[in-house]
This record gives sequence, structure tokens and C-alpha cells, in this order.
Amino acid sequence: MKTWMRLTVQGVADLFRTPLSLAQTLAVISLVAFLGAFFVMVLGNLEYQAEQYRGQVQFQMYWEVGADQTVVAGQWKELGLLAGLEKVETFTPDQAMDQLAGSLEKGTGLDGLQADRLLPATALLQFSLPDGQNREWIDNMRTTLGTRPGVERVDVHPLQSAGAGSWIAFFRNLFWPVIGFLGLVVALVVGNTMKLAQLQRREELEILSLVGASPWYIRYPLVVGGAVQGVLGGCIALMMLGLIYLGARDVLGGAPLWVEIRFLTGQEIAVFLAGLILVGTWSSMAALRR
Amino acid sequence: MIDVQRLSFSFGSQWVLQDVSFRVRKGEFLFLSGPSGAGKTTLIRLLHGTHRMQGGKALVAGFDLKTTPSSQLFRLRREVGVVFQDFRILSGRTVADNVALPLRVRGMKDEIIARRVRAVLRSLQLDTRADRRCEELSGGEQQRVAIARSIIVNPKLLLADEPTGNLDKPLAMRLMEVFRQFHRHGTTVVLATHNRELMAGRPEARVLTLKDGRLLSEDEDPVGRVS
Repeated sequence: MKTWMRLTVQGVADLFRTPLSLAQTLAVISLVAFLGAFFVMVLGNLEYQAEQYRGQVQFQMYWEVGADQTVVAGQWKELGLLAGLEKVETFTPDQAMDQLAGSLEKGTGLDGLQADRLLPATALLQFSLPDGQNREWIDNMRTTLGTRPGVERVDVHPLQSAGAGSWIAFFRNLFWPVIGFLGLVVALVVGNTMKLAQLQRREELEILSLVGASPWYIRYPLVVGGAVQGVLGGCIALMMLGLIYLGARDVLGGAPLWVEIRFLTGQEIAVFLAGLILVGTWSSMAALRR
Repeated sequence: MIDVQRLSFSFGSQWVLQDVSFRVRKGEFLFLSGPSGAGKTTLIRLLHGTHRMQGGKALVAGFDLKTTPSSQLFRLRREVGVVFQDFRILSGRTVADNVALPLRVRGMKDEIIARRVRAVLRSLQLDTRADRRCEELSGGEQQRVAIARSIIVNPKLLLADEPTGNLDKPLAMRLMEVFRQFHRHGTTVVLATHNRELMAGRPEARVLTLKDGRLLSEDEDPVGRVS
């Protein structure tokens, strides 16, 4: 056990003997792994959005600019009583202005402006579609909402799940080919690096062999190196994805999109890293077989 | 310990060994003699599994070199110590590290390794060099490191290719004494050399002479049984 532990440590330490080669390999693995993780995150979010809106429809109501806010507030109370309403979010002109200011860079000069002279009051209503109903029910509801006093416009986002469903099907069909290709790229890069490491240390490995080291004793540190490269590349890719996620969450999560996105789940991260370790290990073993 | 039958080996179209047959009994001391280019080094390498067999049969320490797969040759090498003419030691590592290598790959405990390394280095007058890096040593010292590494595992069979080539006469004689001690403790020794002086005064030793890749019969051997 102590020997294997020592060889594991040696495998990691050997990687840093050639820092430039390690950096180049990690750069490629990180980039490829990032693409894979990004793809998984997009697919996960599409499914998440589809699940959220499955069988639901969203209406966005805009009141006229300068409408009496007390009248609008009364209408919001009435809207809350509508049958099939799942969720309602309302924004006064001031709240809308705050959201707008929050989504723009600081110092854009919105502070001195009067919100109620620029922006309308809005409400976002989300309904469950009654069984067997869709287009006609949506048209009727849009008319009902649009004829309320002071309402200027109603936008509808009907059957979002149908659109998302097509995208999900498209991405799902791509999933294995894309992941397979990216995995192959990682395998080739890691395999090539480990083969080069083997050639670079050829004399040392030959001497080990001459004094009775088993093939596993010789290969194991190199295989550990391959696995470590996989996991290091994966961690860097996850950090890059995390930064992208934080940026996208702030942009997409506010007005006017209100799209809630999520990062990879713990399980997805574990599978992602395990996959990279597996690919790193397997490709090293394949490269060092002779 | 060694049973070689009709062994042949070539590098491309160049035959290095042809139709070589001989036996070495357990506990024997054998000199492989012959001029440079006779095929001694190739024969030592074949017996150690460094070169793969091409023609003939060879049994070494119970391993059939024709049929033992490459992945299992390490088992043979754990029974057989070898000293190569070109030393094959790791530059950039200390003398002690190099000598400890065969024990490390066998997974021995650190304290046992340290004790055995000290003892072997002392017997070869290398104890003051233990912490020196091998590239800082002279050729003769590097050769002694290679010898120390081969004997540290108390091998059943010791193969040595010109082990005294870089040593002065007193040191070469002292080294022969080390080999002799191993032989007395039951190790079979095969020593390739063209140095006749080393063979002199070794009544226990047998001499086989190679010439142009062929083994002369012991009768044809200009030295024959040393006596």
C-alpha cells in the first residue's frame, strides 16, 4: 500500500517536471472540457425551463405610461383572483426603473429621471392551461386582459414548452456525438502527453524495467498523471463555466428576460469529473501499453 | 540454472550469435570469454530478457525465454542481477537511490533498504559516496554503483558484462573477490570478459569462449578449464 501511495505521489510530482508541457495540455483539456460542460449546462437549463413552463402560458401586461397607480394596483388585486393563475409578478414604474438601472452599468444617468413618465406599470401572469385548451383559450384570455381600463398592450408567450421541447430534442440528439467527440479530443491530448513523457523518461523507465519493476510499477505513475491532468482540466473548466454562469445569471435573470438559469448540479459535476478521470486514465493506459 | 540450445540472434541480416548451446549448473561460476564483437554482450542481454529470443531455446532460472511474455519478464529479472557494460544507472539520482532501486521496485521497507544499501556500498568502498549524484562520479565508481545495484538483491543468477572494464587492477581484483563471495554463498555467476587476468587462478570457474558469434567447444577454448 505504501508503495502505491508513493507511486501516486510520484505520478503527480512527475507532471510538474515539465511545467510547460503540463500547461499546454491543461489548456487544451480545460477548453474542451469547458465546451462539454457548457453544452451540458445549456441542455440542463433548457430542460429546466421546459419543466417549469410545461402546460403553462405567460402573459405580460403593459399599462399606459402615467396611468394612475392606485387604479392599477386595484386591477392587480382582481387579476390575482383569476382562475388557473399560477404566478403573478407586478412592477410599478419605480420598480421597473430600479430593475432597469440594476441591469445597466452604473452612472448611466437614470437616477434623476421620473420613472412614471418613462416606464409603464407591468404585470407578468403565468397560467396553467386548462385540459384540452390552448390557442382559443389563450386568445380569449389575451382579449380579456387587454380590454381592462388603462391597459395598453398584452404580450403572450404561448406554449413555451413546445418551442423548448424542439430545442431539447435537437440538443439531446447531439448529446452523445458531441460528448463523444470532446472525450476523444481529451483522450488524444492526454494520451499524447503521456506518450511524450514516457519517451522523455525512456532511459529511466528502461532501467526500472531492468532491475525487475513490473509493468504496472512503471506505468502506474504515468497513468496517475493522466488522471490528474483530466481532473485538473475539469476543475479549471468548471471555474470558467462558473464565471460564465455568474455573468449570465445577472443578465438573463433581470428585465426584460426574467429567465432563471441554474448551474450544473452536484451529481452532474461528479459525473463530469469522473468522466474526465476515466478518459485521462484510459488514454494514458492505451498510450503506454507498449 | 541456464540451458541454452541452438541459440541464434541477428540484427537485421547481421548474425551476432549462431547455434550457441551450453548449460550452466546452479552454483557454477562461468566466464564468457572472447574478443570484442564476439557476441558476449548480446548473449548476456538475451539471458536477461533485454533482447527477445529469435531462434533456439533458452531456459534461465526456470523461465523459458522463448515463451515468457514481455509482461512477465520482470519475474525473471527479480531472480537475475545484471551489470551492463554501459552501467545503465540513473544520472540525477544519488548513489544510494540507484543502488536501492531494485529493492524499491520490490516494495521493501525503507529501513531494510537503508540497511542493505549501507552494507553493499561499504563492501564496494562506495560508502563515502552514498549521497553523491551519480554524474559526479568517475567511470570506475559508476561501474561499482551498477555492480552494487545488481548484487543488493542477492540474486540467484548474476550476469555481468565486462564488470571490471573501467577499474584499475587492484579494484578489479577486489571486485572479483566480491563476485567470488557471492558465488560461495550459492549465487550462479556468468561473467563476460576479455580480460584473461581475471580468469587466472579461478579453479572453480569454467570458461566458454565465443568467437564471431559461435561458441567454441571447451576443448577448443584456448584457456579451457581454468586451473
